[in-house]
Amino acid sequence: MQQLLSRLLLLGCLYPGLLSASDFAYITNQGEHTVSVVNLKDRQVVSTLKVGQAPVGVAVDSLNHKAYISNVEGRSISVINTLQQRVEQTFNLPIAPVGIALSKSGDRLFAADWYHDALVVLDATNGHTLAQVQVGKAPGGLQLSRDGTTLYVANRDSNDISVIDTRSYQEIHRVAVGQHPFGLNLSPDGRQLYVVNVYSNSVSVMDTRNDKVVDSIAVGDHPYCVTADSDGRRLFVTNTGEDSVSVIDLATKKEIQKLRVPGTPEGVAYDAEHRQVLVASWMDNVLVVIDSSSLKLLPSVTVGSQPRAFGNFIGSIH
Amino acid sequence: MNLRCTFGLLSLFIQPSVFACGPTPQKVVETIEIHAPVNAVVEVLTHPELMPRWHPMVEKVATTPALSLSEGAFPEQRRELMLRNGQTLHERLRQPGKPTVVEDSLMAGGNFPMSQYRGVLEVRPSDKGDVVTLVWSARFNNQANLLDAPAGQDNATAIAAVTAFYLKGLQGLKHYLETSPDQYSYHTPQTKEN
Repeated sequence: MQQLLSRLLLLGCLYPGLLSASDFAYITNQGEHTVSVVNLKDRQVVSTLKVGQAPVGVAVDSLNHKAYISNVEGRSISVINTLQQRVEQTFNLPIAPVGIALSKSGDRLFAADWYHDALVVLDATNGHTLAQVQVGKAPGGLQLSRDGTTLYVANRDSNDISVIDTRSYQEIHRVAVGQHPFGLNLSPDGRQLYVVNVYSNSVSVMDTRNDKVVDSIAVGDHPYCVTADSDGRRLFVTNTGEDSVSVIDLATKKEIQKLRVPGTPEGVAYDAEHRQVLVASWMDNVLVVIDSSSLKLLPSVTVGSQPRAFGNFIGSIH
Repeated sequence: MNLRCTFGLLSLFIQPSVFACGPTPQKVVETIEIHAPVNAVVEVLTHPELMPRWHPMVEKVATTPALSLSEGAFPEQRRELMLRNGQTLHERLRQPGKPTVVEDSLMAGGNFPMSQYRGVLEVRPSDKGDVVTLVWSARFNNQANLLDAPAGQDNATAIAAVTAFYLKGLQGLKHYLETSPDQYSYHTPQTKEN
């Protein structure tokens, strides 16, 4: 394992473009305050990094070779150098960050402040607060628009989405969705925002051109997170309350299959390069791997305790 | 930085929303090996009214029949546990999604010191004859549903309470099944008579 890691790091140092962040998944392990770095090609953990207390959110910056980790109980952000796979900075904050996302150029980091109903904008180089925007109650999931000008915030306890202008830091709209929205994701063309409603057992589909909800798709019990595949054909939704992943056909907006997975699946991401769906299963401490063509489960990867992987944990995926 | 941002930064230090629920769920997993036929174990566990006989912390159990589908994603039963220490735990019992799971419950009320609870009890048969492994796993938040919860409603209190409930329950079940097999065989009187 050490030899493999050394070779990967050497390759990364010599040819930074060869090993981009999308070759790895960064899995936050809430129960042991670490991040498991998973090589997506070999599906092996190549490193386990100590971060702050109870890590939850992830935002990978493929451009600048960094991964940001939100430590909700530690009230901090850990910054990982993804070329060297080491924590190089820690930003201590006066808030408990949950969901995080990066601006398009990677110069600013957005953090959802669950306990103060706010979105905090940080300088990604030093963690200094640049601005703060009041949003709805208990903000969790964040999603940047494809052009980088808009940030969507899932407000879990006010059942709506805050639409934020990332240049003026103003809330433009607040859009009602289902009950307890949490995880967010965009279609590959950026025209649709998918909102997971934890208590409604549904996914709201919002047209990002006019910020209107145009559909609602029934999924499993207590869903948390969602990802679209790179073709925009399917959605994958983790159902924490019944240990399954709903596979949604986007043409018909119907669930076409429900995959039984290890306990309490939370974060989910689509790995376009290897055509696989990655799911962090909190109860069983594994990263579940689903072949996106056959929809069969491949061997899982054992990671740290209570993995969550909330957000964009494998970097640029489309 | 504009005025809105200045006020916003100040508001970072005010009292957090009391409506928000805690973002860090807690976990307890307890396991025990029981020397008993798998059917006998399942038989006992699928009769909630038997719980006071094997769980030393449970004084009384009240159950209600299956509810309509409109009340949730699954056909469900409700179970109210009254514990000897005065605590209560009201649960919705859901249809298990896996064949080996005998109980999948959600907290629906009561003063047991936790919130947002889901418990899953799994019976795993072995290839060693009448030996089964029980795995009882829980996910829950502290009772206050807050990051900085007051003493008595915090993570440590919730974890200790669930751990004690699971450990004593599994040990009690093991003792009940391994030492007094006649106590549960009455559940299959027709089989005996036939």
